[in-house]
Amino acid sequence: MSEPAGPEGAAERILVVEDLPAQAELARLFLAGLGYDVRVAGTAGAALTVAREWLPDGLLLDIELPDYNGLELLGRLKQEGSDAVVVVVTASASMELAKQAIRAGAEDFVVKPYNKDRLSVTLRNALQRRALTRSREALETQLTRAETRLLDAEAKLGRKGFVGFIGASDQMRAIYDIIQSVARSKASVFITGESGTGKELAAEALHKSSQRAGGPFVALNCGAIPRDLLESEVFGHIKGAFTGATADRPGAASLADGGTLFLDEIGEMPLDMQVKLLRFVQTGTFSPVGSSKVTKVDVRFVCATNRDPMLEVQAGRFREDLYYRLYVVPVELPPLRDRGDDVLLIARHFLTQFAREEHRRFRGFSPEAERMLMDYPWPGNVRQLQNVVRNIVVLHDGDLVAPGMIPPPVNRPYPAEPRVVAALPPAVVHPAAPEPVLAEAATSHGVPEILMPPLESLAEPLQAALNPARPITSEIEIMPLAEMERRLVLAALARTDGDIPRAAALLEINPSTVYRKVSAWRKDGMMPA
Amino acid sequence: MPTDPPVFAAHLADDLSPEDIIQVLTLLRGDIENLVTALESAARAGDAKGFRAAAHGLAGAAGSVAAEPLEQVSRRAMTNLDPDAPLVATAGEIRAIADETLRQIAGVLAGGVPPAAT
Repeated sequence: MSEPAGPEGAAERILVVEDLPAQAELARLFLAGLGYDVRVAGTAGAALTVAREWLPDGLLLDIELPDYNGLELLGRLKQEGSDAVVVVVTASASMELAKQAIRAGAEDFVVKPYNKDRLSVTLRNALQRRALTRSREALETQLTRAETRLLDAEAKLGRKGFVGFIGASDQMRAIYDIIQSVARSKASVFITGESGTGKELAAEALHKSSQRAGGPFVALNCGAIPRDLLESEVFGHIKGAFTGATADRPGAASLADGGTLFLDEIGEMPLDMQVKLLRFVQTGTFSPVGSSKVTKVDVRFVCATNRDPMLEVQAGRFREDLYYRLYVVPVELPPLRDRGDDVLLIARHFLTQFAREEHRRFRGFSPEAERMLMDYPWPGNVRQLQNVVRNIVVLHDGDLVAPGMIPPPVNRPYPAEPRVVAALPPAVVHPAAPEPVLAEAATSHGVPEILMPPLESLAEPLQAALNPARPITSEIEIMPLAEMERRLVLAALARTDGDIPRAAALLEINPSTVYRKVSAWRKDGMMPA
Repeated sequence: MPTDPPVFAAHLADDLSPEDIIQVLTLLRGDIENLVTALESAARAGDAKGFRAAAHGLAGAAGSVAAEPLEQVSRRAMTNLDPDAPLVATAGEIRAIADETLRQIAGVLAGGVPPAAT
């Protein structure tokens, strides 16, 4: 018989917990004969003491003990973190008792009388299961360490992402470094960047990397809230403060207490509201609408805009004092066209994600398709790339994305000449990067920027308005929005040879909406029957 | 009560040396005596919980040496205790059988360890 030995080669230790001397001696003799190192305790209290000091590999535990129940002892041992295996010994063959023992953490149980072989098999199996568990845990620990080392190495050699961001370009690594550096501070952060570059993602990354990560992250889009409601949204209101204020309601400032308040599109905030925000930023206090009671909160401010904040100050649309209060640490997110191979990293990430969601087989892009993605300037940035990949996955399937699957305008040659932006209001012009403004001009009409109708079916000015990849002039044909919608739906139908579900997929609307519109146009004579 | 020859400890010879068996039986004699005394005390005091605990110990002790009559009567007392049955009467029954088991153990200790069962 081979001697039971632990990992270090020493005999495994078994503590016999039994109050009857003959039973204890019988177990001791059996176990010693099997090669175990054995000690005996006659009470639960004595067993607890021995277990703490001697650290046995296993316990042979009687249930009926003079001081307290063996199951209670088992519970205490497990509570103290003992990983000794416990085999319960009982004179009763009750299944209920066995279930109780297993529930309490016992590995197995034996019923008296037992012989040496029975005890040997039960104990050996229990100890082997423990050894396997330990091996698995050791492997998991090694794996975790290896993963940590790999992540560290990636960080040093050039990481591919950071708290939700995908990207390994120099520009993005610089952003990750800034976010990590300022995360520990309470300094206000001002994030700028074109639409779709991930300003809210950056704000969240900042929050998650900070010591406030356990607190709330509250995002408020100042541009999406009517002017009259903005103060209430930020500071809350009390019941009766205005018509419709039927109850007290906390604002974003209260909700973000202990965490981060992200004010997106802060350039859209009216000047009178900017005064109140300045006071809040300076003192950390505010009064809910309708209340004179001052509330103090602990909030870190992160703001974002797709405009140039200094130009806004110069134009008188943004208070200079507020600018200097908030513009403490600027983070300027680069447009996707400046991020090199990040385009492919992000495209592959979305492809994997969407293929899984849509049950498609896609594993990657063909080299030609990758070339097209790299050649396109992505005026709508990551959001536009996301839409393009979603479109591909919804409408196609295969192992690789082929060039033919890539929708317009990404599949068209991109003109090298610079685009004209003079016709756009100065407030939305980013001096260094005009492209997103064009994308916004298109999307503001409800037109997905990636899904352009056949150019030959539309008037040239309209083509220009809809196609951010083409020059735009001030001579855009203005037409009723409903007419533009009709033209777009008809163009989608023409592209899909009248296939309504596919046209609806291109337009990212429900097919029933297309059916309804087509029926109405036919009825009104706006479309041939 | 007449019983079969003391074969109850024979199976121990498969696993233990004669000296070890003597040691176990010597201890067992004391255990049985103590447990029966505790059982009788509990019966006299009307302590059903103490009675059941002592019967539980006796069942295990008797079972370990295959003393079947004592094991069976102890198990019955431990698992099917009739709340209306007089504990003292049950204790008396167990005492009689335990005394017989103790005599058998004494016989083994005096006359030598039985041969191995296998």
